[in-house]
Amino acid sequence: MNANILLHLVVTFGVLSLLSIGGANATLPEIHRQVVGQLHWMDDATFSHLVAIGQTAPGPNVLVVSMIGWQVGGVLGMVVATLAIVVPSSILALVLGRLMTRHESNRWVGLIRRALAPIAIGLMLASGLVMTKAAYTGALTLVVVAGMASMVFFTKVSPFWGIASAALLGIVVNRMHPFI
Amino acid sequence: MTEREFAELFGVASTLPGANTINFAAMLGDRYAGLSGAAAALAGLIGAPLVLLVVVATLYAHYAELQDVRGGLAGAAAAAAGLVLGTAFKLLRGLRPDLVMLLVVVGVFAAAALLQAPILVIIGIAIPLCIGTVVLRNRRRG
Repeated sequence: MNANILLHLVVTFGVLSLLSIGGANATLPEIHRQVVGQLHWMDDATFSHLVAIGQTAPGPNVLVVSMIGWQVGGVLGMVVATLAIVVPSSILALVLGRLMTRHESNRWVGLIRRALAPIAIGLMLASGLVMTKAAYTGALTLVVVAGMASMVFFTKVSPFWGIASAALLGIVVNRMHPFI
Repeated sequence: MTEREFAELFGVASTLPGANTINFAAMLGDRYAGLSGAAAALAGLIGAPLVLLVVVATLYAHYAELQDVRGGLAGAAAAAAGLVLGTAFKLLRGLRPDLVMLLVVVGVFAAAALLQAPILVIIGIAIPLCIGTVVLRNRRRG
C-alpha cells in the first residue's frame, strides 16, 4: 500500500472532519472537488457508485468516506479514511462536552445551532447537485432524483425503499435500453 | 438519562462538526465511562457497519463491470442524490428561515456547487457572518 495515499487520506479527511458542519452529507462537494477534480483518484460514475453504497449500507453516513478510502487504498485505506473523518470531530465533541455545564450550554447551543443551520443546508443542497451530476446518465436520472426528493420531503416512507426501487428500475431500464 | 438531557446532548452533538450520531455516541460514552467509554461507543457504532461494508465493497470490486450492477447502481446513485436533496429541503422547511438565512443557504450552495470553492473558504466566511448576525439580533431583542 502506498504510504503517500494513506497520508493523503489522513490529511484530507482529518481536516474535513472538523469542517463537516451538517455531517458527512454536507462534505460531499468538497470530497468530490478533491478526489475527482484535483487528485483524479476516480471518475464521476465510480464516485457516485461509492456514495450510493456508503449511504445505503446500514450505519452512519460517514460510511461514504469509508468507501472512498476503500477505493483508493483497500481495507487499510477504508480504516484510515474512517478514523480520519471520525476521530478529530469526536475529540472536539468530547472536549466541548466536558467543558460545557448544562445551564450555560442551553442558550448558546440553541443560538449557534440556528446560526449554523443555513450553512449546513446550503452545503447539503450543493451535495445533492454534485451527486446528481456525478450520477447523471440521462433524463431518467433526473426523474429518479426528483421522485426520491419528493418522497423524502412529503412522506415518511423509509428512504431504503426509494433507493431499492430506484436500483431495480435502473436494472430493468438498462436491460431494455442500455444507457451505460 | 432524562428525555430533556437526551435532547440537550443531541442538540450539542448535531451542532458540532461531524455526524450527529457519532458525536452523540462519543459524548454519551465519555459521560458514563470516560475516554474508554467514548472509544467503546464509537467502536460499537462503526465497527459492525464497517465489517459489512468490506463485504459489500469486495462484491462491488468483483462485479462492478456487470451491466445489471451498473444499471442498479446508477439508479441507486440517483436516489441517493434525491435523498440528500429531499432531506435538505425538509430541514429548510423545519427551520422556517427568514430572508437573511435564505440568502446564506443560497450563497453557500452557489459557492460549493457552482463556484466549487474550497469548504474551508466557504465556512471561514459563512460562520462569522451567521453567528455575528444571530448574536446582533439577539442583543437588539434582548
